[in-house]
Amino acid sequence: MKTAHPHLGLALKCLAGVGLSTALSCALALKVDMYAIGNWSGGNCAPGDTDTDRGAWPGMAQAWYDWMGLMGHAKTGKFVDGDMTVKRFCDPTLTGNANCKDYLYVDWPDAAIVAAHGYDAGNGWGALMRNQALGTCSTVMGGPGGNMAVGDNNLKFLHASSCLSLNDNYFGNMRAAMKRTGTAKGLHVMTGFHGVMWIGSGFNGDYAATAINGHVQSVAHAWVTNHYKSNRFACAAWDPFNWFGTCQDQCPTALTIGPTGASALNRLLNERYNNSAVFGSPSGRSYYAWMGYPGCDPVAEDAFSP
Amino acid sequence: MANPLMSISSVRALRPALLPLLAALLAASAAQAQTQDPKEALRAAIGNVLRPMLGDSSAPVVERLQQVKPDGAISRGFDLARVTTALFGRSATNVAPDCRSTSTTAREADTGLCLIDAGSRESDTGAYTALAFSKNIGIGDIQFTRRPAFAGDGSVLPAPVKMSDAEAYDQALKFMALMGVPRSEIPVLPQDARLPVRSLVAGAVDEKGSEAQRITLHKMVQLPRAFVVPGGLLKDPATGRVLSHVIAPGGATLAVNDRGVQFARIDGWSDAQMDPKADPRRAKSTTELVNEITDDLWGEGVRKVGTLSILIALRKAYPNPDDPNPPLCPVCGVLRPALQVIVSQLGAKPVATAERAFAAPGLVREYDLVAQTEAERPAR
Repeated sequence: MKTAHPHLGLALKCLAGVGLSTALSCALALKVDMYAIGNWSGGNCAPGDTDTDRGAWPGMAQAWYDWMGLMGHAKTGKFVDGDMTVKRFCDPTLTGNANCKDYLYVDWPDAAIVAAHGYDAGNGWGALMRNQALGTCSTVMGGPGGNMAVGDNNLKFLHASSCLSLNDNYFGNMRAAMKRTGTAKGLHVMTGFHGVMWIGSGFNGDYAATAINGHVQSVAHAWVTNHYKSNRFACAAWDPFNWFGTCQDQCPTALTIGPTGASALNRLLNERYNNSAVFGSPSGRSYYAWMGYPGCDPVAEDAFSP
Repeated sequence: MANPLMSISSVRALRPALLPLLAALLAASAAQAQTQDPKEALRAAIGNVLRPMLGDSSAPVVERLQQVKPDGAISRGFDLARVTTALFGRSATNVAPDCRSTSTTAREADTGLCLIDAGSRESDTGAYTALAFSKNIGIGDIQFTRRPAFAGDGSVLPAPVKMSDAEAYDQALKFMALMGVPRSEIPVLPQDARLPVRSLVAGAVDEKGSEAQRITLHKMVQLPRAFVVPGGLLKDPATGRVLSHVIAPGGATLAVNDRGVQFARIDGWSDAQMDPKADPRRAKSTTELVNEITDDLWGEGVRKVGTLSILIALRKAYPNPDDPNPPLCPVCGVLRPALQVIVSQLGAKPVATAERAFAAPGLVREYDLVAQTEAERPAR
């Protein structure tokens, strides 16, 4: 039998775990989801277009997801390929469309990672879905006509494993998408990439390390230190160490919001997966705080210069 | 002999000059694409990069790489007492109980980490320091984090870093030495080369776009691992520059501020030795490599080439478990001559993207230069 709520079965297991006192307390642990697309050609947004497929991508997101589980959190949803549509990401109030169900999906857990092809949707993050729904193949966060605004339900930490997902030119628009007008709650921390990100078997460890380090240092810091790849790409054959300036970078970025600059910075510098309750939800969005590497020079974008 | 400073400066200036070259190569590929199918265009683009590097065969490169003699080992340099004294001082530390053994209950080498820490990781605002390292340190994984206590109300921000890039680089090298990483495996920068250091910065901006604060948090240092290749590895025909090192598996990222190293992640700096079973007589021809790379990238969805970088490298491989004469440290692996292929569909410069013109991630793949025996499987 299919449940109406995609997480219901897992939530019941979690409650049972609490009842038996066998699981780490679900009241203290975060609920964690992953949303990843590796195969677009089997969907209807890029039907048969095998050059869009990136089979190794879900495994990178899963490295974070699995380690969040190992760190004691509740793995509540692994969504890979299938009927991945905008309905899982769009906000019904923001769009005025009741078929948007983010409160059952990406805005249901406390922490989530999203892996999908990205693009600059007018100073906001656009992510290519696998299947079309509600007349679109994209979810858009932060740009004009954006359909995604998270944090008003549950989500606290959003990791975007996606090219051009958190460019320096998005920050102002993301500020609004991280706390929808009129809501009490908002997204605590968003992370992504300025410019192109990279896929390789050696990069799974970066996602695992983010999950581990995010319990020791701030989630923003864990992301930007573990995904930073200096001068690893596009190097000339005779310049593999960038001694002569031929190489390019992978540039991770992070963003928080707050009613004051100090509060946004404090969250950026200090909020971890395991102390988020102390910070609570951002009570305002008059300021945003960013973290990144000025001068970081990725493929397909100008150097990071917020 | 040309002034090396001038040479380096002029080569740096080549980067813009390389773009037309790359564009020309890609344009040539594009022109071919009009008459060839896209896969043949991809094959041509790979061949255009690979043939000037290798000629007709990878055998000469493999023979040069066989001369590499890793003479250091992190397992010989890592001194736990010295490390813990330096990192924790007199602080009371907790040592995880499972640090006592380097093998599993199944009597296999334990590939996990030993954790030593001070303070409470779960403390909301308290200081915490953690060191984790491979129980079998020859595997070469080390993680270190020092978290200072902070004011929960955000009233005190960290002091901006004042140290120079050169000072940060020097501190990073000292930390690597403390961890027992062989100095000979960190390539020495040529005079006037760019330091692998960049500032990690945080800033706050108000809703009108006015900057309220900007702080340099750390100097981030990334150190590659490389071995000297006797006689040099590669000579660039355009510049005459000789590449004297080969990149090797393993690397380090360190965050340094005025109080020293605050974060370090050393990955896979293993004791691996050159694979004694890599036979130069089985070195692949350039045509074989071009075809193998083309087929693999095509299978990975690569249709367009925006940037293409092919580097000669050593890759970490694991010996055949049925080998009757395994290396001394099986979990450390062995080093095999390989190519690192780094390809993106988008070019180096900014491009307009959209739903139907999205940005696909770039790919990093590795290919052995020496054909494997039937008992082995490629490990990508």
